[in-house]
Amino acid sequence: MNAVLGTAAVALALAGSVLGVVTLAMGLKRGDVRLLRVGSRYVWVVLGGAVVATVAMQSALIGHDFSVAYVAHNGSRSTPLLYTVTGMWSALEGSILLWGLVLAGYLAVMARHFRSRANDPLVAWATLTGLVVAAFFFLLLAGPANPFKIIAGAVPTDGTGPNPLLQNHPLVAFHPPMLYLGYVGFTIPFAFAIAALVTGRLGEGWLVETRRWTLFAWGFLTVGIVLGAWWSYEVLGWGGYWAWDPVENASFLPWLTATAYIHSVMAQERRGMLRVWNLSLLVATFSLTILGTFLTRSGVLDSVHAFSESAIGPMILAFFALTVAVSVGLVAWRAERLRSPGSIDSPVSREGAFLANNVAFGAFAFVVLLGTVFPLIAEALRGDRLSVGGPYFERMTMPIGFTLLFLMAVAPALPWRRASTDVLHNRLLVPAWAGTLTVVACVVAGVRGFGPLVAFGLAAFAGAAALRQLALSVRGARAQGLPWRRGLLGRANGGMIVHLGVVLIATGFAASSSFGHSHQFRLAPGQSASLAGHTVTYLGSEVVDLPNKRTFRARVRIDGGRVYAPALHQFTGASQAIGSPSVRSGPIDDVYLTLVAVPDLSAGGDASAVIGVNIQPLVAWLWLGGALMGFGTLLAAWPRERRRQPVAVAPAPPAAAPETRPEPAEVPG
Amino acid sequence: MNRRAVWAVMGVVLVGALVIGSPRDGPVTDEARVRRIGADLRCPTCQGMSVAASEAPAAVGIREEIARRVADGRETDGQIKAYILSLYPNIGLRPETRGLGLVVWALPVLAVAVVVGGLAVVVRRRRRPRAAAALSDDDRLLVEQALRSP
Repeated sequence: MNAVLGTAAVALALAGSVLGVVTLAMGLKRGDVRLLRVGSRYVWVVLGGAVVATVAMQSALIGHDFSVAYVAHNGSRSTPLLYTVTGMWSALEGSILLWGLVLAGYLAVMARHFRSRANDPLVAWATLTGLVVAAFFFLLLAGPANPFKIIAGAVPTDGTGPNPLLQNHPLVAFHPPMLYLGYVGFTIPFAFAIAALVTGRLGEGWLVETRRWTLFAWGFLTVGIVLGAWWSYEVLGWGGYWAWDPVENASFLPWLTATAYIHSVMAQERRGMLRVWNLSLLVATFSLTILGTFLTRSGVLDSVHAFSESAIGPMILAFFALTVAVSVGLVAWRAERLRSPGSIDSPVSREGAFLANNVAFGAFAFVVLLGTVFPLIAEALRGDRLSVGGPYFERMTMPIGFTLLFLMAVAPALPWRRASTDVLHNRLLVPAWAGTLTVVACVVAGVRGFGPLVAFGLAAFAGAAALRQLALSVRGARAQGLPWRRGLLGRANGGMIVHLGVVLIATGFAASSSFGHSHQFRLAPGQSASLAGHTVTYLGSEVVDLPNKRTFRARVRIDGGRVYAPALHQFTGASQAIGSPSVRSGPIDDVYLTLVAVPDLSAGGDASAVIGVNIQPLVAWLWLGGALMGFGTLLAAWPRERRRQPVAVAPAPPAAAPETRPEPAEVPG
Repeated sequence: MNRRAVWAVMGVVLVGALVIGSPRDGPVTDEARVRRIGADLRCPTCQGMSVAASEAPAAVGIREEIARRVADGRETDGQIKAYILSLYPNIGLRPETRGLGLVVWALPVLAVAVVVGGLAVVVRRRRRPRAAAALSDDDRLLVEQALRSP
């Protein structure tokens, strides 16, 4: 029943996408406004299909309908309800369904937002592009990634349940949906970029239309990545949060290009620069989400996240190739119109800083992409597998990270066009002293090591620069008689809050990866051990039997205070035991406990347990920084009246701000 | 104090602090050496974890072997790593700096050098004063439309 309903719903969504594409294409060809309006309404059919398919999947999961193969492999009667629901994104087919649902949702919101302009060719082309992408994903769901496949043979009485790692922490309910809201969200700006190329309306109008969409997608992706790191820290038990795993890299790549875009787009809005580059960045961001899906969902790379091998690889790769080919073709076709009217006057200017920012982010993305796909290239050329891992990425990205922190400190102070030494001196002196004195204070406090000292100094420099901008903005709002909170709204101010979040993350990253301590202690009940100024006391262990797992839980007191309980879980149907760490988080450092070896609890057995203790400073700053980045994104996207007057801090160029001017209609071709 | 002097003082303070603070203090412990060697090796049986981070039996075994050799004290970190790699080829996480491995190190550096060089040339060329370019018909049309629209 669920399978029939789900299959029908996927078919409906697929049909809706295809019919929408055909209707819009005909409407555009004939210039028939009525067809354009009808065509855009097909997004509701797609949304309806996606919602019904999701309901069918959830009803199959919750109702333990093991006739559906996906449910038999990813659900079980003993799995708690939360992890039964999240089972939808615990494996390949279901996660593509989630992708389809999110995409349909975005398309529906877009159609509603632009409903009064459904007859505008730009909007029609964007809708068409979005529906083509939807058609592709529902085609995957109808064919090679069918989540409603009926199980072969007799229907089992129970399923195997999700991967043990995916039923161990509630974050699994938030991290994938957030990430998908980010990934999929970039479809909308990509669709508008394609529409702008096709219609030839390449001015700044389409940018303004999609600015907030890009910002939201970026914010979701940021929060999704940080939640993923947090999940990794709380669940995997190795004390780290980022391993340069191919799937992590796959999520990081579009984030890097999107971050580059969010910055360079300002140079286009203000100075009419970098038109081709910005289009390319949007296309790259979208293509990288597709490439990431290929790399991680086709089984070509080893990863913690890689699901089983499947036949969808070639289809995704073909779609990726099509996306890139169409985009490159369109850009080449429009090359003449894409010549930027603006040009750079001086490298020491806001636009110069954005350019440097883009080189740095581009280099960052290139390093991550190269390191991720290089094992594949090496295998093809040499026949043996070469691994590129953490040490490579850390060495290569550290100088880029420092460059970005430096730019983050300097760029907000730079005016557009060109900066005089007066301006640089006045605006940078205080932040630069903040950075320098931070380095001095760290050295006095006994912090040693070139890398971390530079990181802390640059972070303080950038943080002080961002705070300076915010203070000026708040003061400006007060001077205009507005409440001080208004000084935190808007893109520039929200952006500074995001920068503060980045500063926290950079500091936490540098501190925790440079000054961690870890050791494993074999402790008898009542025995204590000390590491890096903390004392842990092992109190004893207990065994808890739950329907889906048997848990060995150790009780460990930290610094004579609260008792923490690192555990090992033996899930039914899984061979290897899964550890779950227990963490005491604090503003200064985290004490991270793992149960490495369980005691023999039978009479006369060895009652001692092996406890892993991992102490890392400033880890909590990472999560706080992620939250601040999300909050800053919200402030940046906050709707408000646009200022027509130039801001005191960044004088506007003589050319009128183009974003406020409606764009002349142009004929394609 | 004049401006240049302020920045010069800051530079001296910064460089001084970095010179004092850069050397890591204390002798390197055996445990730190084991961790450093293990971080460069991939755990052969798990996915995407280093020997230093994983608790899988294979990783624990390799760690014990490294610890034995470190305690022995006769080999350098590089020699121990080479020995482990002779037992388990292809578990190195840091690509070698020769042959095909060199590409992955050098390519990004080259790419950045080319891009930065290219940009420097473009910026310098654009900054030279140019004669006002003749307006095309397209430009006139654009201005006309812009003026007409409300």
